[in-house]
Formats: sequence, structure tokens, C-alpha cells
Amino acid sequence: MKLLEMLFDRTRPWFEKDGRLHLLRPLAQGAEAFFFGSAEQTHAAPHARDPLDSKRFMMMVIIALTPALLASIYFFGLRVLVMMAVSYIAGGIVEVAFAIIRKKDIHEGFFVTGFLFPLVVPPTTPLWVVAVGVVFGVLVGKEVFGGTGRNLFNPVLVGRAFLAVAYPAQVASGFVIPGAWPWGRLTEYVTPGSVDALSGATPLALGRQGEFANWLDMFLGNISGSAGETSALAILLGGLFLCMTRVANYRTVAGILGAVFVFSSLLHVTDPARFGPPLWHLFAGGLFLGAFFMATDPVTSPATNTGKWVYGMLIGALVVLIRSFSGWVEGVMFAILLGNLASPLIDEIFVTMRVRRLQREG
Amino acid sequence: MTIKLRGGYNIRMTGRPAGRVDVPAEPELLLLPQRSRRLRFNQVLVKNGQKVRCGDVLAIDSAHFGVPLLSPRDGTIRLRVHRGHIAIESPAVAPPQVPPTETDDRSQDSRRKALVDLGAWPFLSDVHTDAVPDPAQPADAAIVAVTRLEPFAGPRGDVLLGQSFDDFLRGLDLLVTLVQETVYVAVPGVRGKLAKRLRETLSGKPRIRAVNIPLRYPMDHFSVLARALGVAPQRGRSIWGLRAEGVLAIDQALTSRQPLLERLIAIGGPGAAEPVHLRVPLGYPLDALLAGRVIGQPQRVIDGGILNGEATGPRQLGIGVETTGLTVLPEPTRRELFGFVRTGLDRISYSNCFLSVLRPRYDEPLTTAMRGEHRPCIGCGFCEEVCPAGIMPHWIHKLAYQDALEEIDRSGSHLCVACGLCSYVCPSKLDLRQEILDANEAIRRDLHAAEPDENEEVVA
Repeated sequence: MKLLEMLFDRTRPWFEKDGRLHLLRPLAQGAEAFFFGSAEQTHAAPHARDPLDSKRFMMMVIIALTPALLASIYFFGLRVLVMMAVSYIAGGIVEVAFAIIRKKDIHEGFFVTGFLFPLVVPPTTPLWVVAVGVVFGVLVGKEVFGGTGRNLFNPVLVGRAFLAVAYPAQVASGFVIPGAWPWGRLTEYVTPGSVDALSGATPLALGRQGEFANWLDMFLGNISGSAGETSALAILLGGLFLCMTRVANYRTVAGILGAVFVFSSLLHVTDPARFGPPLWHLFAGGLFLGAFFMATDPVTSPATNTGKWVYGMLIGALVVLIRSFSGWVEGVMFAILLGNLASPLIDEIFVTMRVRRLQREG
Repeated sequence: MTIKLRGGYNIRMTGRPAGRVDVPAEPELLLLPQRSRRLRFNQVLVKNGQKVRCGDVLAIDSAHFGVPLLSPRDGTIRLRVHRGHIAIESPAVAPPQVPPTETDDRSQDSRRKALVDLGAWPFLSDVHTDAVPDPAQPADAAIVAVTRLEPFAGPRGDVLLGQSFDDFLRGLDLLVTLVQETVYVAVPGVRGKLAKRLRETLSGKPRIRAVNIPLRYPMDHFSVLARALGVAPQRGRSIWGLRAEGVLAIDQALTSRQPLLERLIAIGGPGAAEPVHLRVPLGYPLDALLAGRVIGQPQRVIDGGILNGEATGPRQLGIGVETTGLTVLPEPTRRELFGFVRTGLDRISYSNCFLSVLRPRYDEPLTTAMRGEHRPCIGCGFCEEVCPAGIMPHWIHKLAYQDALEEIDRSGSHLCVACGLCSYVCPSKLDLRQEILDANEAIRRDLHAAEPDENEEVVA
């Protein structure tokens, strides 16, 4: 460890302004930040700082996603790990290239994007499709807006939406029948070619034919779907942890789930044969993963707390609308993207209200 | 009476000054800084080599109503040796000369003048602007904060009151005679014996209103209190803010008519070997004072607390007239491998991202480390939650990035009390406090300077 510290101290001048390797400074800085963290000190008041930094902040999301990843491996096999490696490598190249071009540090937000992306695509999506999706998401969803913190849309969902529109056949055919008790597909590697496991229709698709899956299977994740979205239980475990650490704001989650419950209940009462019951809506598709891990992305959601409630409820209502009345069986992805689009407006409204109140107070 | 207060957060740091008050040995040299937080003693009235007596005026701040810098001891003046300081060689303790009693001692004007002449004026500030109040103008109201909640900006209220409870009450009575309307006294809403006794004593007094405040930083801040009490800033109204030591200073100046030549300061922080209170003369050299009182490693000595204080250095070599406490903060000496995946049982965070949330209450030895890389705002909203002024630092940060001064002005940036909590909690390590202060400065310079004065408009 001392040796490593010395290595960084010794090589730092190479990457400074006039150093030979100045172009690669983001890489060196990223490596040092990864191993040791910042060596910087405060220069004025406040003289001390809170221990939370953005690395830890993003780390919490990855810890919280681990149960969902484990559930995914259990139900759909080891391929998800390969998809994750592809996602990290392809997205990482874009991230590093932009850091070097911009002469800025590599931002930690990418670690979440790279982790989350393979979880929102079907388990046997061709690897090149995964790579194309994550590259598009990082490039168009984030980098063109100026990088982490400046993006309007969630990069994961931008990439996923691109795949849904550009490669519908590859994405739609990738669903897998989940592994059975007790070992699931823990030791299996399901490829796009293994026919026996393929073409498990998702509960949302079956719902269109009036066939509503058993809510317990859906809660545990014993259903077909995108790699990491099926187990509501695993996502709930990580999601509650994330809310408790204050990394995810509970207001957004409560707004979404509450609105889905209320709206789907209303529809179900009017026509139970056509519209699924509220619990089915809650556990189906990517709602839990989206509500806990994607809508709560602080960058693309409103900054004000009241705004987060409104944003959540808007997404929840859109999910039910798209699922029930549009050509798409799943609405979470588009609902969150539309929510992202509305969030600057929502902020504008609540900030204006807040400012008026402040002016009244003096 | 209890008032409604929002935001705030207590930083738990080791090195809380103990209740003991030490008196260090008399120093061999006094170094009086000519500059303190608000005051600049730029008009020096003594010459190099001149012999001065205890209580003599050494210099005045001509920009602040001629507030004097008094000589704390007998001795010989040495100028220009220590830049920005007036040095006194071979200082000796002597009874200070008592100024002749004024003929009209009862009048408020002469009492305020006595406060200026005897060195008690630096203890006063305007509750809204923190400026030095004008001694020519009577005070309309006053807010007294008994506690000090910033770690560890000054002497503990319970230590001051425990030492001189009766002097404090007498000082409070004198303060009432200097103020036209009400004197608000902010008492921590705790069950302690001292707070209970204070509340009981104050409850019967006319024109004094005791207010209970939570023990949460920065609820002792004058402008936070003023806003919660509905004491709005108004043209031509003067509202004083002072702390327990300010009340004791008024008592000393007006009861015993003694100049204020010493300070009771707190010395604390993780770098302090023995956090205590000290009674020292003004100008006590910091290196002599700190010798043996700090642990052996590079330290930053801060005049004031960690959130608002200023690092001492060549610009400040001794105890100044506005020094209330010294915080000793170590510089980081080691870096942890993979710090971001550690359990974090040893670090206390505003968020709950470290396992320390499972531990019972404890204090953390903080350092001057930034503890993270600078990143763009991710909109976590922590700064808004802790803000005691109810403004949105993240929003102002965004507007400052666009140079939208008018919009910053409209979003209430003038309400900022510079408590520093937004910068402290920010996971992207943004210097929000400084950004808001800079924006306010730019607004004053560029926007409000261009606007015609309200009164001028009436004339035209």
C-alpha cells in the first residue's frame, strides 16, 4: 500500500500540465481516486467536510443493486455477468474518451450506468446489441449534454429506448423462462441459441390476452422479463436500503408506486377482465427497478422535495396509461423518460413558489 | 416561548473544550493583530519605542466609529517588526487607569460611549448584517444568544454563566437600559440546572423575553433568530446581537468601569492536546499559547469554529479583539486504500451511507481533508435540507453557473447566513457557501449600485 502510494506520488508529475503524459491525466487521476481518494485539503471555511463523496454515493447504488443481480443470475443464468462486462467495457471506453477530450476527471456516475444497463435488457440480448445500447446511452443520454450532473435524461433508459426502437426483433426475442426451484439456472449459460429456454412471454404481454400471472411468482421474480427486473423482492431489499441511506429519495418512489396502485385500482374496478389488478401492475415488468433505481436518479429528477412527489405521481400515472391504452405492453421506460423531460418544468414551478414564499417572509 | 426553526445540523467533532478555565503564564511579548474579523485598526496613535500604560489607546478603527485598540499591559511599543501587528515588549501587569466618571452617567449616549472607550463595542453586532453598530444610534432591540453552537467557535455558554451568573444578570439589566424595546434571550431548550435557573430568573423581568432554541447549529445565529422572532430588518432601526460574553463585557464596562483587556477563549478541536478554556490578555502570542497544547502533527489553527472561522497564519500571530476561540484541526497524514468501500464505522456523515449510523453517539476526529473529488452538482438536495435560511443552495449554484445575477437575487440569496453547512454536506464538494457570498457581493456591486436610491427618487 505504501508502495502504491509512492508510485502515485512519483508518477504524478508526468500527468501535470507540462508532463509527457498530460493527455492521459483523467486516467491517472481516476486510478488514484479509485485507490486512495482525494489528497486535497480545504482552503477556507468550512475547514472540515462531510465524509460522503460521489464515489461513495454511487457505491451505495451498486450495493443496493446486488440483490437484483443475484436474483437475475439465479433465474436466468450466468450470462448476465458477461453482459455486464460488455456493458462496462463498451461504456467505459466512451466515458474515458470523453474525459480525455474534455480534460476532466472520469466521473463515477458511469459505474452505476454500466451496472444497471444489462439489468434492463432481456437475458439473452446479443452482446453487440448490449454494447450498442450502452454506448448510445452514455453518448447521447449523457456526454452530449456535458457529462454526469448535466444530463436531462437517464442514460440507461436512453440506451434502452434506443434498442427498443432500433432493434425491436433482437430485444423482443431475448426473453427466457426462469429457472426452477431449487437451483434455478445458477450454473447455466443461456445463449440466444438455446431454444428450450427461450420465448418465455412476459406477464405484461400475457396480460394483454387477459392472462394475469400469479402475484407471488411475480414478487419473487419467477417470471420472464428483463435480466434484473423480475424479482420485486430483491429490488425492494436494495431499494429500501437505498432510501434509508438517503441516496434515493423516498418521495419519488412513494409517488410512483402510490400513483400506480391508485390508478390501476380504478381501472381494474371498471373492467377486471381487461385491466390487471393493482398488485399485478406493481410487480409486473420494470416498475420496481425503475421506481427505486432509475426515477430516483437525483440528476434527472426534480431538485425540490415537493417536486419529487409530483414527478413520482406523474410517472406512476403514465405507466398505467401506457400499459393499458397504448401499443406498448411496458410503459416504465417511456414514463420515466417523459418524467425526466418534465422535471425541469416541475422544478421551475416549485422553485417559483418557494421564492415567492421567501420574499413574503422577507 | 418556543420559536419555529428549520434546517441545521450538528457536526460531532472531538475536542469539545472542558469546563475548566486555565490562566496561562504572563507572556514575554504581546502581538496585537491590527485586523480582526470586522475591524481594521489602521490609525496607529503610538510611536515606535513609546512606553504605554495599561488601558492606553494604541490605535483606532477610523472606518468603524473610532473603535479603539487598548493596551492590555504596561510596556514598550514595537512597530513594523511583525507585519500587521502592534507588539508590546516586556509587558507588565498593572492596575489600569480608571477613566474619570462622566458627569452625565445616566444618559444612554454616554453609556454607549463608555462601551466604545472601554473596549466592549467589538462584542456587539447588527443582527441582520453582522456589521459593527453605530454608537451614535440607540438600539431598538437586542438579541442575546447564551449558547454557541458552532464547534468550537468560542467559550461555552454554561461555562461563562456558571462562572459569573450574577454578573450576567446585572449585565442583562444594564442592556435593557440601553435598548428601547425588548431584549430577547435565546436559551437552549434543555433540562439542565443552569438553563432552568436562567429561564426562571428571566421570566419575571420586564422587557426581557426568554426564547427556547434547540441545541442545533446554527440556531444561535443572530439573523436566524431575528427572522424566527419576526424582527425584520428596517431602515433606521438598530438591533444588536450579542453573546453571553458580550453581556458580561457590558457589565464590566458599566459596573466596575474597567476596560476589557482580557478574553475568555475556548481552545478545542481534534488537534488540541487538552481542550479547555483560557483567560488570556489581548495580544497573547499564538505560538506561545499553543506550545504544549496541541498534539504533534501539522495543524491548522483556526480563529473561530470550523464552519466560519479563519485560519490563522502570518496575518494573525496573537489573540485579537474579536477572537473568541481557537479550533485546532489536524491536517490529514494518511490516505486509506479503497476508502469508498470501507464500512465507515469511524466516520459520521449527514447521509446514512456509512455503518457509523448503527453506532451510539460519538465524536469524530475531523481533519482539513476535502474527503472527495470535486464533481458537478448531482442534485441530492442535502444542502437544501440543512439550510437554516430556507434557501436552495443547489439552485443558486446552477444560476451562478449561468451568471444569472437577477435570478439569484430573486431566489433569496440575501437570506444566507453563511453558516457553511451546505458546503459541509455537499457530496460533490462544491463550495456553495463561498459561491453564495460571492454572488451576493456581485449583486451589491452590479445590480443594486446601478439602481437609484429610494430616497433620491422621491426628491426627483
